[in-house]
Amino acid sequence: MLQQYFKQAWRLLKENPVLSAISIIGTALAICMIMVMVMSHQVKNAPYPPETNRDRMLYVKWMSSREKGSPNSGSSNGSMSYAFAKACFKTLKTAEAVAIVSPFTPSAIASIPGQIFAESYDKMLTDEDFWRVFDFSFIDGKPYTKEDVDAGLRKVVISEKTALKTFGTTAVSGQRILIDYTEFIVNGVVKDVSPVATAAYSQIWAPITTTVLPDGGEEGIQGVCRVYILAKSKKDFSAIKEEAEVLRKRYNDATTTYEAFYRKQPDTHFVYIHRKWANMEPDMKAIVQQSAIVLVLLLIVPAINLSGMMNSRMRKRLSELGVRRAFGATRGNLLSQVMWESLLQTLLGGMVGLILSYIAAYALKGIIYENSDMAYQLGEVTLNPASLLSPAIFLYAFLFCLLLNVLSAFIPARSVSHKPIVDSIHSK
Amino acid sequence: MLKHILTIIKNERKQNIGLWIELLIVSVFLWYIVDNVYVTLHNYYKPLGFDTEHTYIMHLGLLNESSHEYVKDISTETAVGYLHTALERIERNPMVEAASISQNSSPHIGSNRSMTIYRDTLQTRYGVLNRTVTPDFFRVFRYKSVNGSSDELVQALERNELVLSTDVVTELFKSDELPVGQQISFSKSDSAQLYRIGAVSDVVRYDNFSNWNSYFAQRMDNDFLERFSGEWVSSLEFCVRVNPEEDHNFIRRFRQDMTQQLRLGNYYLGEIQSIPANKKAFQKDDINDLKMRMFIVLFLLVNIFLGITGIFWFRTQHRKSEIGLRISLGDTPKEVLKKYYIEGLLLLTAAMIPTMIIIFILGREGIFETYLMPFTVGRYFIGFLITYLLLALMIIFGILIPARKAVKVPPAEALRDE
Repeated sequence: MLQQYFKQAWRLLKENPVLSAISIIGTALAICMIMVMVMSHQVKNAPYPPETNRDRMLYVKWMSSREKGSPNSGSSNGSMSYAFAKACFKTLKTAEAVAIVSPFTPSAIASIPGQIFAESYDKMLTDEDFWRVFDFSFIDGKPYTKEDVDAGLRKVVISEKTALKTFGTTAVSGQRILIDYTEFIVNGVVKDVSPVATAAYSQIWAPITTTVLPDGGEEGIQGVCRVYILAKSKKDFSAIKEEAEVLRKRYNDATTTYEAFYRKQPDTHFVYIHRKWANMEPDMKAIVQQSAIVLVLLLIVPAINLSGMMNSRMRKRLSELGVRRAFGATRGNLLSQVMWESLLQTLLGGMVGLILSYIAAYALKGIIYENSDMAYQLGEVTLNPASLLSPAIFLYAFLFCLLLNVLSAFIPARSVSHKPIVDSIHSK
Repeated sequence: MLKHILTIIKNERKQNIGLWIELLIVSVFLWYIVDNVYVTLHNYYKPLGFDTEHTYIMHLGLLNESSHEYVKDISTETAVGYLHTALERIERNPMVEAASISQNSSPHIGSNRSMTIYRDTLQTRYGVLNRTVTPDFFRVFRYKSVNGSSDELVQALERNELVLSTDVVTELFKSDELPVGQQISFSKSDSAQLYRIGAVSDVVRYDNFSNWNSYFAQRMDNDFLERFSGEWVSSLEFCVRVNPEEDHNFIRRFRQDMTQQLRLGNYYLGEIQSIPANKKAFQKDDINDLKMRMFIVLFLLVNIFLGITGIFWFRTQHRKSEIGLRISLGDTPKEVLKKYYIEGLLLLTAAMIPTMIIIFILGREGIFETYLMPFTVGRYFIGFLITYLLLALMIIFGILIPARKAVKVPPAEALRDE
C-alpha cells in the first residue's frame, strides 16, 4: 500500500513539474533559512573543543559595586578584581572547577631571545583551573600547575600558530621565549583556538600571577578579572548560585562602605553570550520573543503558500477523489494518501534545503560566525562550517518539514474529503 | 473592465482570501523590515566627517620589572620626554604623512569619555564626546572646520583653544552669534575655569550606525601625558596617516623600521592595528544585523513570487478556455495579460489598506524606533512605497510566467476544451 502511495505521489510530482518545483523550492528555502538561524544559534551555544562543557558552565562576565544601603544611587560597573574572585568564587564547594581569567591584557609581542623583530599575539592571563574548565588538546608539553601559579613562575602555553611563527616548529616545550621583552619558558603548545570560542580563545596563555594586575575601584572589589565556573552537572546550577550569594553576602559584611552585586549572574551560556554591557542585564525575554517572531514568520509564510497551492491542486483532483470514494475508499484512506504525497514533496524540499544550507553555511560564514567581540582578535576562524550541520540540526529541519507538511496538506485535504461524493464526481 | 475583474476576484474568493491573508501578513512584516533597513541605510550613508582610509593605530607597552631590560627610576619628566620623542620619531618615518597622540578619541574603539558643556545659563542636554588630542590628530583623520579646512582646527589647538562641533554650537549659541572667541566651561559654578573657542568643526559622526555627532577637542598637554606615562601608557593612542603609495604590508614594515627606535626607557612598540580593519570589527554586529534583515526581505519576496506563480498557474490553466474565448472574440493576448495584472494588483492594494491602518496604529503607539529618524508622514509613506513596489514587482513576475504560457495557446485548441 505504502509503495503504491509513493508511486502515485511520484507520478503526480512529475505530471506538473513547474508546480512541483515551486513547492519544493519554497520548502527548501524555508528550511535553509531556518537552518541558517539554527546554525548561528548552534555556533554560539553548541559545545565543541575547547569549550566542550558549555552546557554545564556558568559565567560571571561583569559585576557591579555601589555604596552600601543605597540601592538607587549610582553604581560602578565592570569586571572584578583577582582578590574578589578568589574570595567569592574560588572557594565555591559545589562547583567542579572555577577558573579566574583576565582577558583584557593588550596583545603581546613575542620573540626568541636575541631576535630584534617581534610579532604581536593575543594574550590572556589565567589560573591553573582554566585548563580543567576548558578542553584544550596539547600538541606538546602540558599546562602550568597550581604550584606554578602560586609561585608566579613565568611559564606560558602558546598556540600552534604562535609556536610555528616564532620557533618554526611546535616541539618547543622548555624553550625560552620573550613576551613583551620579559623571558618566559614555554610549558606547552596547544592546537589553535578559533575566536568563535569567545571565553577560551587566545594565542598566549600565562599564569595570572606573572603580572601585577591593576586593581582599582571601590575597596578593591573591581579589577580586570572574569570567572568561569564548571559545574559537575546542570542540576547543580541553582546550588552554585545559592552558594555564590552566600559568599557575596559574607564578603559584603566585611567591607566598610561598598558592596558587590552581580545583576543576576552567574549566567548560563545562553545568557552569557547575550550579556554585552556591564551596567545592565540582557533583556532575555525580548531576545527570545524576537527570535520566536522571526521563526513564526518563516514558518507561516511558506505554509500559506503551500496550502494555497495544495488547495488548487485538490480542486483539480476532486473528481478523481470522488471516483475513489465511490468505489469504497474511506476518508482516512484518501487523507493518508494525500499526506503521503505531500510528505514526499516536503522531504524532497527538505533535501534540497539541506544542500542549500550547506552552500549558505559557507557563503554566509561572516554572518553566521563572526561578531564584534571576536572580529578584533588576531586569530582566524578555523571552524569548519559543515561541522555545524550535525544530526541534531537535521532533526530540527526534519521536524520543521513535518510541521509544514501537516499545515499545508491536512487542512485542504480534509475539506475535500468532506465534500459529498456526487459533487466531487460532477466537478470538472 | 474594473467591475468585470472584481467579479472574477469574487468568484475566486476562496483562493483569493488565502492570497490576501498572505499578502497582508507579508506586507506588515515587509514594511517593518523595509522601514528598518531604510532608516539604517539612510543614516549609514550620511557623510562621516572623517576619513580612516590609510590610517593605523598603535600603542606603546611598558616593560615588566622582571624584564632584564627594565630600567629603574625613570622620572615622570623623562618619561613624558620619551613620549614626545616617540611621536617625533613616528612622524619622521618616511611612510607616515601625519601622526598624533590621543586618548579615547580614535574612531571605532568603543571607549569614550564625555562631558557636559556650560555657557552662562545654557548647557548641553547630553554628554559631549571629549577628544583630547595633539593638534595633528585633525590631519590624521581629516576632520574639517565649517570652512572646509583641517589647518584651521590644528591652529586652534596649537593656540591652546578648544574646537567645538556644530551640534554643540547650535545648542549653546544663537544662530546670529559668532562662537569663535567666546568662552565656555565644564562645570556649572561661577568660579569654573573658562575656555576660549578657537574653531568650529563640521559634523563628525561617531560611526555609521549611531547618531552621536557632538564633540569637543582640547589639546593634550604635558600634565595629561604625565598621568598616562606609567602603567596606563597603553591607553594612549598613537595614530598615523600613511602615504597611500606606502600602504602595503605597512604593519610589518613599520615594525621592522621602528621597533628599535621606539625602545625608549621602559617603553616599547606594542600592538599596531589598521583602523579600517578595526572599523569592520567594531561595526560587525550592526552589519550582520542589517544583512540578516535583508535576507529576510529577500526570503519573503521569493515566497510571494512562488505563491503568486503557484496560484496563478492553476488559475490560468483553469481558465484556458476562457482565455481562448476572449482571444477569439478579438482581445489581444496583451489585454488578457493586463486583466490578470490588474487582478493581482487589486488584491495587493486590498491587502495594503489594512496594513496601512495596522502600521499607523503601531506607529502611534510608539512601537517603532525613532532614535535615528522621527516617525514622520514621509517615513511612513516611503516605507509603503518601497513595500508596494517590491510586492507589485513580485506579483507581476509571478503572473507573467504562468499566464504568458496560457495566452500563447492557440484559441482553437483552447476552445476545443470547452
